[in-house]
Amino acid sequence: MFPPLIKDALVYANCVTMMSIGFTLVYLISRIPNFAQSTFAVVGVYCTFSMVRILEINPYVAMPLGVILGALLALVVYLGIVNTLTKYGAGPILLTISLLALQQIFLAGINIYADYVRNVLGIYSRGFMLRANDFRVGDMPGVLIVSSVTVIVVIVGMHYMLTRTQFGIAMRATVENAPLASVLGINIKKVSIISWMITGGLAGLAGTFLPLWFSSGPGSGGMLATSVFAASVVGGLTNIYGAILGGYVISLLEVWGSYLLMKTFGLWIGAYRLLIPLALMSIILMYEPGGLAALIERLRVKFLRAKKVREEESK
Amino acid sequence: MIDDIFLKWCIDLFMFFLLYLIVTMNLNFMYGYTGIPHFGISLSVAGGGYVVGAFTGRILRWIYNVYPELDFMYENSKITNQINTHLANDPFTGIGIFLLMVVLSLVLNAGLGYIVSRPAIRLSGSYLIIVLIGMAEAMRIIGMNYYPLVGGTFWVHVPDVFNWMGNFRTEGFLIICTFFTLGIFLLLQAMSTSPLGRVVRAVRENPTSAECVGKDVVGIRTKVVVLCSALTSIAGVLYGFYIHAVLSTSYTRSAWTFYPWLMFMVGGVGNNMGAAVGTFIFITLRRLIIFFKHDIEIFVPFQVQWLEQILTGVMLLLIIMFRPQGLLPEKPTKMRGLDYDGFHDELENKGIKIPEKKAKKDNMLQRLLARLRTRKK
Repeated sequence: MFPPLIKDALVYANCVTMMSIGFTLVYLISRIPNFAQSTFAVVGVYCTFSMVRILEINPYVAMPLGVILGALLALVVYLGIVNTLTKYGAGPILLTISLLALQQIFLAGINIYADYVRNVLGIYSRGFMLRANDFRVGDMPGVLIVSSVTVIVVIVGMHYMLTRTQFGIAMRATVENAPLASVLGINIKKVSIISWMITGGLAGLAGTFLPLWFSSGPGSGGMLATSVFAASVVGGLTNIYGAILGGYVISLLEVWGSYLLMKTFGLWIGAYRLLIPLALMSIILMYEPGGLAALIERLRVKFLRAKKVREEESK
Repeated sequence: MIDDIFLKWCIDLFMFFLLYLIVTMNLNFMYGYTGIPHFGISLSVAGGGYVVGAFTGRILRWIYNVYPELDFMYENSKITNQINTHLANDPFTGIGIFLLMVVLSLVLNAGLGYIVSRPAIRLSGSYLIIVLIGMAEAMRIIGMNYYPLVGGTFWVHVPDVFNWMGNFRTEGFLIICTFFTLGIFLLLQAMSTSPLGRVVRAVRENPTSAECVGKDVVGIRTKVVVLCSALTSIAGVLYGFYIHAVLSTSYTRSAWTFYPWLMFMVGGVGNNMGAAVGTFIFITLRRLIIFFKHDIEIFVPFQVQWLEQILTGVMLLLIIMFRPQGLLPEKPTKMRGLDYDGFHDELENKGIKIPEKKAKKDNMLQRLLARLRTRKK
């Protein structure tokens, strides 16, 4: 029913979108690019790996575990580093460097785990793919169904939270103007903690799906990271809906674009796949720094103005 | 025997110190003086390396006409060996090729610096960081996958252009590297105390006010990135000639972006001496870890490399927390071309009193001694 290309593209797009939602959320709340995020995804990858290869049970048991571990790690990052350093008076650049340092520390920890599993338990722990352990519904792989449903649930949940709940409104207020929000009695620290935990949880969740379709290892976070940055920047880094749009645009263009290029120029070009999101990101930054969100907003304003003019003329 | 090993270790240490010093000084000029957070510095180092790997062997093969029928990449060792025998008694070609590579790398990496900084140089810090990190990753991907450049995930041998030095080769190359580093140091030092340094600091402190007094902020930032990318690539060139090979896999983010950042954060942001001190401390530490790696490896069921990464990461976090200005903080620099005594006299003529310089504070040791003395009484 589904050609494999669409499956590839959709699974990848789902993972990238979940991560770019988190990336944008943290950027909005704390004004720093969260470079440690890709390692949360690697934690998710190793959750699935441990479930399947070590405990030998259903890979989807890893989903809640990935969410919890990712959220906890994000909590540690926020309370331990971001909050503390902000108290010491560090600016965004220092925070970025410290997040890079954290990324290195976490990645080293994951590598130690992988080495331990290989040397002590004797299980091959790098570059694994667990497609065979996934369930199937007819032609469709389970991971495609589960990840798509999860993304829809996440998007609907985020939309509900941001527009209908007290907390979501507090979050939007914090994004607009943090000092003013705190004057109005919103607990900014709580909002930040929960945003960071959502980010970590989403990244961990995205990570648990990766090994069920792609070859994964400690490096798969880095593989995703470039696309996630590009998706968030193309989305505009100004709201969550932009991140969702950017995530799908970038990852679908990446997978299908590289496929088309491979078809025309030969297989060798597939290795340069990551250059597609980078090129798109550069083009967007040169001509529309606000991203797709700003572009849509501008078009909408233009359209409304034209409509108004037409109405006035008809009068 | 042990002395010999120790001497070699020292030379290796000093060599890496010089290589990293070039990178940290340029990084310092970009971030410490101009405020450009260049998190893709590894791409300039890689750029220098790629120039050396791709051109040196090919040009020398063309000059000496060695095995013109063989494929350059697949028969790399054979061709390089033959070229090295030619180079052993041809100092002029060797030096000429070396200088040509330096110039070529400067030119190409200046262009590369312009291209990578173009999309985001006018935007705020975070965008620039994201773009530069992405560009460095792109550079690595191209190097690892484009086989004819530097042999993909394998490596390409670099002919030994200083083969004619014979036994003195290692020391001789070290002296050449010292001269290059010294030259870059003097150039950057001269720039930072010149009117350009003043403009650059103004751009760092407040881009808006710098623009208000008629300075082209984007232009200055672009110029600084282009210049520093070109100068940083010399580290890549020297590294390629030092290890006689170019490995595309060695230009990783942790090795050539994260470590230089760590070094100059340790030493002190905004002054070249700080960069030197930080680089020396860090390189010594790292070389010691590498030296004793195999002794540690017996005790743990994983590679020591990861332990090293955790250690360095924690070190950076601690420094950011407890001493964000580094070991040697930035001091106000006296600009060349400004008459400070003249200012003094002018102010005094106008009747404005200048507060006298505060007496120098005692340092920690002196304070301790003073306290001990008072206690004795």
